[in-house]
Amino acid sequence: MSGWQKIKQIENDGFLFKISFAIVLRSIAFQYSHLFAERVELNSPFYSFNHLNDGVALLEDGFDPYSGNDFNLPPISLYALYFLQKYVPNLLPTLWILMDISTALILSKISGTKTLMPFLFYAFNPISIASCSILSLTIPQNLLIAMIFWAYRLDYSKTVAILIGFWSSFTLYPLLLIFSLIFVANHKISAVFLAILAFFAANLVNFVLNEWSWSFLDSTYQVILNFTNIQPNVGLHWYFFVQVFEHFRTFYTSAFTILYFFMGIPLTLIIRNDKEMHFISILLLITTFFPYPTLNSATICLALLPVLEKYRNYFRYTLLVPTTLITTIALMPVMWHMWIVSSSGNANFFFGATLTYNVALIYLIMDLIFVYSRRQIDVLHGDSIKKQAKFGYSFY
Amino acid sequence: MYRIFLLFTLCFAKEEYWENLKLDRVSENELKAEFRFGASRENLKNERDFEVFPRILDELIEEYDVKYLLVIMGQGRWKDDKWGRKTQPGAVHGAQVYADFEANSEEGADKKLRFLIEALNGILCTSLSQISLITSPQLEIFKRPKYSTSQQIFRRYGILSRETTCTENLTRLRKLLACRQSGISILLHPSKLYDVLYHASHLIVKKNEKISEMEVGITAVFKNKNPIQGSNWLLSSIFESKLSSSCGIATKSQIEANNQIYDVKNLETSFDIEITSKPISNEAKLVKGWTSQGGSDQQNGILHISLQNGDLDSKLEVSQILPYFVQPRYAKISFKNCQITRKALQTSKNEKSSALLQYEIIIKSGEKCEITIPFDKKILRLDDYPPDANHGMHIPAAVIFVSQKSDSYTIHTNPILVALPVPDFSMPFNVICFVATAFALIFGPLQLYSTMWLAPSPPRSTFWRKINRLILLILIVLCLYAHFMEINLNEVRRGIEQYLEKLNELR
Amino acid sequence: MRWSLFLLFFFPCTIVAVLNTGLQLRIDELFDTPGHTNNWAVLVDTSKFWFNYRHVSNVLALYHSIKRLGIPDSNIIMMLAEDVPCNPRNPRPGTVYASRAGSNLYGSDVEVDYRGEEVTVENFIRVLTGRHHPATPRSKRLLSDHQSNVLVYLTGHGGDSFMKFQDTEELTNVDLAYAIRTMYEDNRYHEMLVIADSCRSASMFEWIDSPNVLSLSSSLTHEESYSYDIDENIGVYVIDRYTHFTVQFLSKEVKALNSSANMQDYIEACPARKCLSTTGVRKDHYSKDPTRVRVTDFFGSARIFQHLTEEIELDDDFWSG
Repeated sequence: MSGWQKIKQIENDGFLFKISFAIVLRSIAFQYSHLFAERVELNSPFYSFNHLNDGVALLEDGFDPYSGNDFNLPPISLYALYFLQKYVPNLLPTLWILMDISTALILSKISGTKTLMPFLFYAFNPISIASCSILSLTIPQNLLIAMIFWAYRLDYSKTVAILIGFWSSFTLYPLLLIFSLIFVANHKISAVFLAILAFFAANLVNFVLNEWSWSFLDSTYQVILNFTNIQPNVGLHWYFFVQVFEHFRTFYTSAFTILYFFMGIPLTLIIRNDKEMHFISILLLITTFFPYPTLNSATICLALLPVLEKYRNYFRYTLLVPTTLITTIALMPVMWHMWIVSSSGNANFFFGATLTYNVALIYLIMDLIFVYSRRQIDVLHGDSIKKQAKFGYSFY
Repeated sequence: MYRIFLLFTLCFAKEEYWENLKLDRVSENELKAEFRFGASRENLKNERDFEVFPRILDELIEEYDVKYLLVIMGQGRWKDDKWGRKTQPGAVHGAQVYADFEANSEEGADKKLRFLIEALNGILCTSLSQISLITSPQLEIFKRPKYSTSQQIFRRYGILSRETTCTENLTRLRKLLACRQSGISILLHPSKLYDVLYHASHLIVKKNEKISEMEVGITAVFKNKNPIQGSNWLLSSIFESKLSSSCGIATKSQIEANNQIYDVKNLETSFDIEITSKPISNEAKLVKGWTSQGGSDQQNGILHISLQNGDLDSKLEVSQILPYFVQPRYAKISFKNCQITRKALQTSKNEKSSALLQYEIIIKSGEKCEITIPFDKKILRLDDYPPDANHGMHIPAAVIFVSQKSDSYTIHTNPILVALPVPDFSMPFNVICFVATAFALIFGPLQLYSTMWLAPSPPRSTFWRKINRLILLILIVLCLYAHFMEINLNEVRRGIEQYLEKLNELR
Repeated sequence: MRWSLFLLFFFPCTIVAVLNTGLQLRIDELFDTPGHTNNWAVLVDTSKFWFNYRHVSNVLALYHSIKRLGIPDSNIIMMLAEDVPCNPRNPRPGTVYASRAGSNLYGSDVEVDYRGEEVTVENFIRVLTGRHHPATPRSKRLLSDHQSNVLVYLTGHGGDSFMKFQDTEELTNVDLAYAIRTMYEDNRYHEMLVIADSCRSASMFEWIDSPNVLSLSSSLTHEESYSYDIDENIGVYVIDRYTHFTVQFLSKEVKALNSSANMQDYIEACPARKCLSTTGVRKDHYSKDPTRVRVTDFFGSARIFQHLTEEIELDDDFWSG
């Protein structure tokens, strides 16, 4: 065996230990899943396994799950779980652990120099362990994101396009990733068309599964575009649409949706040379601005941050963002308890904690943009600038 | 004189009016009184004279193509153990509306019903506008007649649990009676009828091809406040009014008490009776239903419906309305000891519409069936909360239609009050500003970095920036001072107005 | 002898009759000819909760007074925000009393048009301006015209420039002024009397700028209003001072429709020693002199006939409508 193979073997040994430890942690977490099953921070109408179960129960009793506006998942998920529960009902926890570990493995293959950082950030993140134990639907979503990023990195434009279209059919917001396709396809537009085609194909499958009717569109897409479901979650939008006056509701829903979909354009204009940075920024945008997020949506974005190794020295908020994230995540259950259970606080407490969490993520996005611009300057004019120069903005 | 009058009316649409009062002792100190007043009228075309049938109800029937309309308002709770079977139509606290009517389409039916409810508000002095009506329940709720008509019949049923009933409703119901100042309706003393253990007042309007009928009913269970052993109830002391004149135009006017029927149609002297009958002991056990609530926080709860059968095998059709602020966890609905033969679920895409869960259960004698429905409590928009939001909102009582071998009747469980999670009502502007700030935080840098270059900036003086900040600081201090001293802005405005007026005068 | 007895009786009777007619004519000369033909009233209680019993009894006491003076139920819109008589806390169900020794105000003749949660600022303004949902029944509409005198009475909790509705909303004086201005432009009143009985209620008519509106309040902008009587059995205050003295004035001075009490008497009916707060008046938009206006112009419903000498042609629309 050559020296290089020996190093690989040692690394692999350590790696196997880490994987098995992750699997053990998740299995233990399944015993405590009742602690997390009803938590609002880990559940939202689009990612809750209980919601999916309700839909399957309705289907089994012969009722249409889409007759009200309460069931927000597309027929693909509904029928997938229906068949899974019919044939292999006991294997669901195993399936979820498998998906999570696959995500972690894919992440470990992605990064360049430090192989294990993304893997560690994802596999041992308590949020992802807890979400796995409650069979949250963010686990399959994270697997999908990891696969997309891997294919993206390896320039498989068709795979990326199809997966983006497929993912967007569940929640509309990943359509923003189409802006990233420009980097992959050598500036050809056909990849964009492929993504949109995949989106419509997935919807067609939904249509067929839903007994040839479009009734699911109201419950899945209209709920996202109109922000109709105002139940508490860790997003920015729910309390806003609880409080806004009826008169202005249409104005704000359209303003928010249009703002979101337009944000891809300036982002693409800024980040022109680094495709991974672009992808991660858009992923963070999707996570922060999706109306019904959970805490687990952000774990994979944070896990992917070590990929941006070369920007390490330029980050401005290295202390602020992580500490805010940790503090608010710790405070959220406390504030929720004060509002809902003991009534010694009101909704503003919980809202404050979630708002600060989202603002920390927004600061992270801000920082990514700054870091990219700052490094561009160094790359282009590295020698001619003094070390401690102050930076401002100018038009030329 | 009345006979000539009646003869005269035979030439026109035949109308009839009858009244009935039934008095029963249901226990040692409790007396049940059932008033029933009815009128019927032949349906003749182009006949617009009304003698005893209220014209306003006929207009209601014509305008909204009503086939069967039932409005019941109730107060208090019926005690199954002591009082026997609930008098039909049974009431639960709040108001219930059940309507069968004709319309062209579903949307037309909804619009018609909205107008019908508002018309009922005007006729009965109720406030039913917020009632949420279920479309076409699949299982039975109330016993209703069969129709033979070509046009489509639409069914609607709703309960409004927070509706109160008081003497103004009684005043309006009385106005529908032909004999208001004479006959049995004199006994309708407003205050006494609401100082009771159970009160139900209802209005039924029916129409088929030949006749239109209406019935006004009031049921009340009085409690003897000063029980003396062996004392009997006197009619005049129960209602604090004496029957002195009779209703001449009624075809039937009678009082049933003491196991006999007293005819008060031709009354010459004032009439008073003593209720001496003994309370009927209820040997047969009845079907009973009750609802209880579980859960300890404002996030979710459990609805627990218990059904206890009596002596006969029965078929129960249970309908539970789940309002829009409560979402049932359908997969976790569990049954204990229930034989469910049919299930029905109705939801609607409208935001404020309720869901209806219906179960058909076959239950043997003596058995008990328990249904557990876990639900999530929803947070609502600011405007959807009632004025006293912390009071909570009601989940209506379950309606149980019991079919036994020989007869069928409707009983109810009880409504429950759920405490919903409540936002802060004083904060709309603040929340909008905070969230908009978060959006501005992302919008700002995106716009900045995409339109401008990041470049080293030459050293510039920050003097004017400091002046700007000083002015802003002074303004903030002034605002804080005004807030701390609780200066009323209106007074500031009036002071400024007076000052400007003085300036004008000086000139 | 018989003749002299007859004359003895006859002459004083004639003299009294003549004098009376003269007196009546003189009294009629004291007052301006009224220009209205019908009367409407909107009585609003804005407070929720059992301990605001007195606001409900305020409205009911005034309701009975104006019914006694002739305004029928069809012309009165009564809005009660709390169900007090059938409230579970009422020790005497089915009854409302305005004083310890008083009579039941909630008998068999009370019609409440808006009750409970229907009493909102939106519904109040809809009633005043007449802009309703098409399904609204007639009994809930204010069907006044350019020849109606409208009495608007608001009672509840209030503050500087607002009145609190149901503990969640506020009716600001600007809202009220705009509603009255809309009524003026739609010709929905001939003259209007606005009475506000709450704390600091004079601020409620600060912005009124439509002509022919006389506004009264129970206290000035910097003062609170006080309640009058507590009933220990019921456990709450049962009437407010201003309304108590208003109803007392109406039952003592205005016994029938031909009473000669004028509006200035009414304005002075509750001085500071009785009401403990100075009542507010706003007369600048009212064209007549209050000493020459009968109280029954607003609080009662006299049938006033106007003679027409012109021909009116009724076309088919009139008969078929």
